[in-house]
Amino acid sequence: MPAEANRAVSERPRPEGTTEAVPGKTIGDYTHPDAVMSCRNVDVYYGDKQAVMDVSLDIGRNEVISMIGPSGCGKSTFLRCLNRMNDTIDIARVTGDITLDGENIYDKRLDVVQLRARVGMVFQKPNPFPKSIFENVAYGPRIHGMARDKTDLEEIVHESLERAGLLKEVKDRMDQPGTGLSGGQQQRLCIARAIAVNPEVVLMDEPCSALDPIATARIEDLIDELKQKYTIAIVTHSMQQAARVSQRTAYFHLGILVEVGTTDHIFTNPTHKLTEDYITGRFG
Amino acid sequence: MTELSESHTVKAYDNELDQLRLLVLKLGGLVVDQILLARRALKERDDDLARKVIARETEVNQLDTDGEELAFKLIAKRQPIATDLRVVLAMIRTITDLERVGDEAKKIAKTARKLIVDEVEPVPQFSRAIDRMAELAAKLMREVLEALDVFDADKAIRVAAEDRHLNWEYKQCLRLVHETLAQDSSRIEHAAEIVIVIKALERIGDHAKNIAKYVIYVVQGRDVRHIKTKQLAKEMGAEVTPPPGKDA
Repeated sequence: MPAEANRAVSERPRPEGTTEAVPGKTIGDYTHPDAVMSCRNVDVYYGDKQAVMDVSLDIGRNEVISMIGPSGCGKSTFLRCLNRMNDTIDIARVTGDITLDGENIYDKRLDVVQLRARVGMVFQKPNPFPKSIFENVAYGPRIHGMARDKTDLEEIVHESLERAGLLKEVKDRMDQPGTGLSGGQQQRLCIARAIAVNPEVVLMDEPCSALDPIATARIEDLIDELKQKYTIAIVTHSMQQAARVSQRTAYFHLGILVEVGTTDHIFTNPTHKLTEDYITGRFG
Repeated sequence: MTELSESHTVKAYDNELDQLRLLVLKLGGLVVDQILLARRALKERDDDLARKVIARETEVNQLDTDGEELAFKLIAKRQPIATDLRVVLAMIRTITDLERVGDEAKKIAKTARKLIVDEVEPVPQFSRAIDRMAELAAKLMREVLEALDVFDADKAIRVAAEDRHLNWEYKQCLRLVHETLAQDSSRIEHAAEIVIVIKALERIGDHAKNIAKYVIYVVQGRDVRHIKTKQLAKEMGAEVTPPPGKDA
């Protein structure tokens, strides 16, 4: 246990705008009976600064789990641990255990490129490659050797675009640049790109924050469909979005996982005062 | 549920919730007044007062409409969740109950007018029994509004439990009516009017109990509407006095 979480209540940090201290340990059951990913006592440091403190959380198979909390609470940092995106930051250091299907993802022998195929990611701002729509989706399956031939590759691309709900809109212009699509279409293209390599988990870091309400609704509808086949962990600033799309919700504050529970519980009758105050817009 | 911090980051949200709460309390105050005026009109055979109660029903209806509109706009604009959502839901339900309390008061006032117009001789036993019931019904309404104002679940459960006393009084009144009729059947028309009045007062107690349960819902986050009051009081460890001849 890190020093922060072991402190007496009077010494624990208090978020600005409230007199309530963060709890000494996470409120609610952070385990899942069918966990695809398991995180235990995860700490993340950026140099000397600790951004995530002693977080334990399971990500259940075929569930959508949302991570909420004010800016700087560590939710995105934690999400990025799940496919080792923090490796790209020199000063970042991750400790604790994170497993995918029981396998330690921080094992030195593990191929990070393979890991990121199994745990895909969609970012806040759509970031299609400066290539054609077809190539954006075909890139992953090609480098991972997933297609036997051209027909096979075309099939994967079509199926991924279909699953991402984009095929109808782009099927007649597959050779045109992905960057020429609208923001919402670009984000669905990025989702198609992530699912083309058949991941087990898709991480979404505020995937709708740059989109208009209709494009947001399309992504939310898509998340609902994708959960039949994939596990989705989503970071969002929109309480309503978390309430709409996820089955479980995890509330982070000051790097600590304050409370986790079913979304119904968190949004109707949360246990901890900080959670209640945050989701009802009383601070943060 | 834990106690909430005082205010939302968006101050206008607090103002809107306050407006809704104040409107509900205003409506509550109005209907308590209606109960007391209707009772006085009946007791003092005051036709003007009875007419006033009937006329003021439009004020009750207007506050009912305004309250619903406020709540409707608040939901549309703020999308309340958790305790805020329960508060808004409880306020909407309370408005409906209070409007019905207003209807019951009007019913009593109408009955008073009928007894005045028909020049029916008052029966002192009836008057005393109605007085006791009206006093208790108004007290329950006042106390439940106090509980609602500060979301005091302990006070709310005591009000809900006291409704059992009003039910007991109602049964006593009903027995009195039967006894009177057994002695003098010519009083049948008068007795029928009295039954309308005591039933209205008994219903007012039920509405107070409903509102008390909304308060508990806001505070505890669980829907207790269909839990027997006796059991709920026991669960909440509330000290309540049972009506004569009943278990706590």
